[in-house]
Amino acid sequence: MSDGVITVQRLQCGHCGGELPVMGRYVTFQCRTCFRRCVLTDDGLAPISVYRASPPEEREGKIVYLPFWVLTADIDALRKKVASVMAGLAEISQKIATAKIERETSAPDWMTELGMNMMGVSSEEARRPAVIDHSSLTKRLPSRAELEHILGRMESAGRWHIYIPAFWTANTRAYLQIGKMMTRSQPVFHAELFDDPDKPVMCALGPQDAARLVDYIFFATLPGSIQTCPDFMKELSLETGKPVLIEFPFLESPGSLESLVGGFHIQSQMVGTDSLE
Amino acid sequence: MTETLDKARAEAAAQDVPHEAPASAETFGVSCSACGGSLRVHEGERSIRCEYCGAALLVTRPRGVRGYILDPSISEGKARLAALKHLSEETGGRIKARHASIIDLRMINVPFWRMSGMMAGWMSGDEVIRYQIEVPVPGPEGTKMVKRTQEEKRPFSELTFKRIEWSTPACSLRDLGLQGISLRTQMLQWNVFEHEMQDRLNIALPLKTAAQAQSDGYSYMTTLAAPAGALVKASRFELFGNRLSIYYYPVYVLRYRHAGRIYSITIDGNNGSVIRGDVPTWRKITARSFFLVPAFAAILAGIWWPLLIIAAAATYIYDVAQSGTILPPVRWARERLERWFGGRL
Repeated sequence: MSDGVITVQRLQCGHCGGELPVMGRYVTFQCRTCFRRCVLTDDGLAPISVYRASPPEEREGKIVYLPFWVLTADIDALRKKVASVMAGLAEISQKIATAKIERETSAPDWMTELGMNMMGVSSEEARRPAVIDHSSLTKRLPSRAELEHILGRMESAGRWHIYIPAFWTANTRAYLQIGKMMTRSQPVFHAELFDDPDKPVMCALGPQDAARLVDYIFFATLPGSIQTCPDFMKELSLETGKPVLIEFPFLESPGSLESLVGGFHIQSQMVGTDSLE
Repeated sequence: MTETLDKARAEAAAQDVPHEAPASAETFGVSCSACGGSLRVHEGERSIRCEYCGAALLVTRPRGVRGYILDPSISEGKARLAALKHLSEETGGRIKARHASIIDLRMINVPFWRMSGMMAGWMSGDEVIRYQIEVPVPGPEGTKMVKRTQEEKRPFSELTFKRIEWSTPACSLRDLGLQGISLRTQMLQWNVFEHEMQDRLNIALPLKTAAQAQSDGYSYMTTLAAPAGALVKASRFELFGNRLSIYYYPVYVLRYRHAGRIYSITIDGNNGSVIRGDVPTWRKITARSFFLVPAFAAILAGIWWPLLIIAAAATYIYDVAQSGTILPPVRWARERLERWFGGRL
């Protein structure tokens, strides 16, 4: 029954064989000998490059860097997906409406007719077309104009990134909130390879888990009118490229953190204390 | 030599990145791959340092269902005492150790499916909102305002990302009262379950499959995240962290005989509490049991005497089948009468 037995193995650099530092719950490691970084995935340790975004302007105060997995959405695939889902749902709605009309307007069989006559309902009355409430029959679909607006905005941006928070926090809701704010803001930033051996990257989320979170962060950025269309939303999924780990600068002030690239504020409590040191 | 080793360990540990201890105090046991030392890993830890040889170790969590087992914290003797104390308390001191003959006391590792970790999910549907409105109703004494409940469906959508903790017994041993065991509130020290343990431990086989358990777990998540009274039309969930695992929890089952019947008491093997206990009920002597029932039986027997013998034989066979032991008919009759009339002959 238990084929997924937990074991331990030596924590060694896949490149030089040197011992890696123990990181507790964090999944990124940097070798003290060759300074290469690696990340713990579902298949074991894999080499990784970590980037750090620089603040757009000089600001006074303490700057903390929080790691995010950044995935680039395939907008063409999304447009095709949306079109096929909308067409499929519209077709189903039409079929439901047509079937209902046929059922309501077709002549009753002899048994039904006999029963109706016995109850004093005339055949003419029974054949009278029923008033059909199309709104109750058709699937709840999002507005095409609204979808077009969202897709247009994504296309005009050139690239659309989904930001998955990778730092550790006890407040799980923070992942959704901060991921949503970063994705909505679509910050423009300049990032460079970060390999400072004295500054460990406190990443608590593996790349595969980040990829599994993409749809939820994307959903969070959609307006409520689209989110409340169950048949449309359950078919919607985002195709993305390979996740890239980037640290983003946040300016620490009492009780809050300001994203220097996103331009929004979050409460300090939303982030684990390890990440703020 | 020891000093050199300590120094090497301290130097290695100095390389580690300072980090907060995981929130969960729950641990599981593993063996160091370098020195074989017995180590305890906190839930959520991905790398640890061996406290014996100082080696840095990576905790690997392969795909598939993981199994954990808990050693009992209390001995058989303590379990027996807890059961007898329960028996004495529940019967108001009427039945004590000397009145009940203990048939056996067994430790069973009962399986539980457990889902714990972080859940990301989305759901959508209709939220039913009920509110009261006042409507005018014409009557013989004029128009009256009457309160009526109005129901309105509003579309809702919920995105959720939270820690979840859910467990369910994986076997259907209803008489043991396993539903009373909650793994969520306990900070326990689990060991990794290995297949060889099946041969030397008394392990109940899981009857509920992993797919069934997963389906039940997702239903629970939907209930947890949806607003009260909502009709969920579509949902998607992802579970991160621990995923679905099977946990073997120790319970002691004590069986005893009293007045010809067999009863059982289930003791939590971890904390010694009584999970469920059957105790003999003391029936009051009422007019019905004292006079009417024997009178009715006497009338029937007077009318057709073989009935008395058939009824007695049927009751005897039933009791023997229930208790699993053959009692001498005279002793059986005495114990039966004692039970019927609520006294000691």
